[in-house]
Amino acid sequence: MSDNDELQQIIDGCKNGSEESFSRLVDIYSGRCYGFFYRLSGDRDLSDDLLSELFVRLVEKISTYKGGSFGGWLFTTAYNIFQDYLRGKHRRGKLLEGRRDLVELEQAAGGKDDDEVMDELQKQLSKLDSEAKELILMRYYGQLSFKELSEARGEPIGTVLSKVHRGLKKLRARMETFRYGQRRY
Amino acid sequence: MGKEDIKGLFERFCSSDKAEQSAEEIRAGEQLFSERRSPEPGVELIAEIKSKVGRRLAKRVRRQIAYKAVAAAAAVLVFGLSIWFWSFERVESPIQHSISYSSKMPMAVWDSNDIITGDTKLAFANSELERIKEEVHSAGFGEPDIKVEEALFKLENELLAVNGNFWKE
Repeated sequence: MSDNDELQQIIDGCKNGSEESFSRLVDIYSGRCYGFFYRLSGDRDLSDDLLSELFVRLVEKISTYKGGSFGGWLFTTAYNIFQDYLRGKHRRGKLLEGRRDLVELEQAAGGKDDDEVMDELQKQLSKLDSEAKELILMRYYGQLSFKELSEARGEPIGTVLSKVHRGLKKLRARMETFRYGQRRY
Repeated sequence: MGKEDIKGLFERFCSSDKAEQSAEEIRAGEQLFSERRSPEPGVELIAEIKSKVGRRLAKRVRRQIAYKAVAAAAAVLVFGLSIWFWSFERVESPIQHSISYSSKMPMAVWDSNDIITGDTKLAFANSELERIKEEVHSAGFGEPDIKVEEALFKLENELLAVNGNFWKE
């Protein structure tokens, strides 16, 4: 049985209300969805909440999946959950606070270990425009092809290709600058 | 994603050299994410999510059962109401009866004020009565060429015949 057939079987099981199928879906996608939320928010606690919200919401929403790229559909749903979160005024304040704390933490840290490099990627990613960031993260964590990404976003493939290319080029340049700065000091 | 021909996609929009360079830039950019893996969700979190999903599924099943019960009750109610309305219409409606009785009467009765012209049987009976009336009249006045006894006998017979025919029809 191919991976696609197996995934389709799991999705069908979820639509029929099988707890085991949902459990398998969580096992397959929780890591990538968590990474997606973490890269979007920069906050582990918030990523915990959003991941939980995503799978609980899927119980009701899975019936609306009518075929096509499941990854594209799932990560679009995940992004919508993140957007819903941002729309909440109360929580938005908390997110900004969390980001400020993260930046302060990075500035205060003296060592230059792997964790710090990971946070630097997070920091540089947050400086990208939100659309480019969203596309880059959806493609990477959703493991989507450009065709799937353009279908999920409802945009022409050339537009998606161009936005992702520009965004990644900018991100890489900023990370290089950061590394160069580290070597100098 | 992995097997995708990114260079081929770029070649639709730019030269081969530029497409090669752009595809390489995308690969290098995505390499940043592979080198710096994001944190993984905790085991407790996954267990908690599965538990929440299980509870939500149970709630969904209960809700579906409730919807089905409500739908069945609504169907029974609609069926009962339709039966009730149907029987009410059959037993109580005076309109239905008036239509069935009135339809048995000649249409001419409704179209004209003179019911005799509208009904051939009544017209025939009426003409007979008119003729008998004339004969009685002529007998009463003692017209010379009519014998009274013969005329009365004939009149009596005709009246009997008319009476019989009328009720037969």
